[in-house]
Amino acid sequence: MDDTAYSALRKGAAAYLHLDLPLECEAGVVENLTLLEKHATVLEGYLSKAEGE
Amino acid sequence: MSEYTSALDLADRIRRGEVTARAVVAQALEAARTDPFNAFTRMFDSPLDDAQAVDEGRITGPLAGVPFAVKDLFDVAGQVTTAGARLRIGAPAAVQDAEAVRRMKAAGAILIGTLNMDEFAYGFATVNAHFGTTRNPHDPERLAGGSSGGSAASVAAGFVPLSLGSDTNGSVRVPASLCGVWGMRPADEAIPLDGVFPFVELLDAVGPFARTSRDLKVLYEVLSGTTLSGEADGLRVARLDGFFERNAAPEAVRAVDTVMTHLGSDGVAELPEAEGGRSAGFLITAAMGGALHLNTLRGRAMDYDPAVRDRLIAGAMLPSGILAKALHYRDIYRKIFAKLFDRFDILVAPATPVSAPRIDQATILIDGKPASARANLGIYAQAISPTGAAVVSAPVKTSRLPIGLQFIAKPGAEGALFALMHRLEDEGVLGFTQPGGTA
Repeated sequence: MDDTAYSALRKGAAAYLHLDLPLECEAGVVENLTLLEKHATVLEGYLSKAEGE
Repeated sequence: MSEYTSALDLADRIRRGEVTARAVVAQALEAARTDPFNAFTRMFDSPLDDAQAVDEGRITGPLAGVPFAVKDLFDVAGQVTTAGARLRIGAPAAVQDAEAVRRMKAAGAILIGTLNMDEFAYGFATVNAHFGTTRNPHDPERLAGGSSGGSAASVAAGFVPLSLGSDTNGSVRVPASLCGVWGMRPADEAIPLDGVFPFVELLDAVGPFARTSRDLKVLYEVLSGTTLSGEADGLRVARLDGFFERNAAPEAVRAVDTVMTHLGSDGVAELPEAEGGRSAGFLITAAMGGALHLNTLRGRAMDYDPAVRDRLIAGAMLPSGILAKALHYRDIYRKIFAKLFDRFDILVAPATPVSAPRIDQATILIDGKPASARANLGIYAQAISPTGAAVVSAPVKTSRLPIGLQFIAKPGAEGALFALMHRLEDEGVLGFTQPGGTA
């Protein structure tokens, strides 16, 4: 993630969660957010299928 | 007296005066003190006094004099519940025992200490930045699994015949599989969670470990306050296919085949929604775990285990709309899963996709690509947690590294589930193998 994107993430965390996102966490947080995004996509697919039936 | 004597045999020998509880407990304490696997985090002062009380007849019960230990997220009166976290070391001591601990003591069992875990139970490895890595007694260069790694390793190593852990997404079943011991994730609400440090209350379960299926059954009965009965004859047993086969290593496939062939069953239960159920559980865990820790993260983020911290922060950032969808799909998935029990009584699936990876092994193959070994050890267990079913993780007899299978029953069918476990253990298909031993 580039500096600008992580800065935006930190801004969002501060604004909505009152969480000062440490700079040291960038790699780990981004990796975990990517994993969560993958699971959210999988979930969306199964949910759409279930609701379409 | 072997360190591998079963809990029921120990209780019987103590009751008949063949051995004193004091001798049994002293042996367990000595083993814990010299623990080379880093399973224990703390030993208590009072076990020998309690053992003396058993020998004098002042403490009685079905497990009188049997030593046990607990994952360090169970409250023990007068002790700090660390939940495997450095930042809790200065927390106030618990004022009373967790209900599960109270029930064990009421049955006469003697608590000797606490056991290592992944910080805040968020992991499948028991690699803990503060308390160290718990090593697998079958091969100390390999993972014990987690998050209840100390609980599984202490039983596999012969330190204690019984232990308690907890299972949110597989934290009993994964280490039970890798360490080759019996473990159980009980059905939802079968065992009270009072006094257990929470992770994801919607999915958390107290889980026992043992070296025989009969020990595990008695342990479950003590913890749940029930008496089980059931028959193994006529049970309709089916393997879960698809998702549960896709990423299974040869040893996991072989384990399922061995059991199904032995039972003469070709039943196959289809659950094409399993991947969706797993993702729902994964997202619920991240969001609710993150929410639970958010306040602490605001002030003390750098005091967390870095791997756990980054997972919790990411979870706390999940939009609430995604959590709502995950909760909605969990309800759908539970109904789909429950319908499988119209056709089958017991479902079988690997507990882990592989046997214990080396501690330094970063990846295993998932969908043909290298993926984090530690994150994916629970892939099959995670897909069952949201169903609310009762699950025994049973070690398959093997002369290689251990691996376990999940035997899954609907809530209320635990008696039949254990009857099948006893049969398969008696017939030599399932069972604990001593580290260094042969099947």
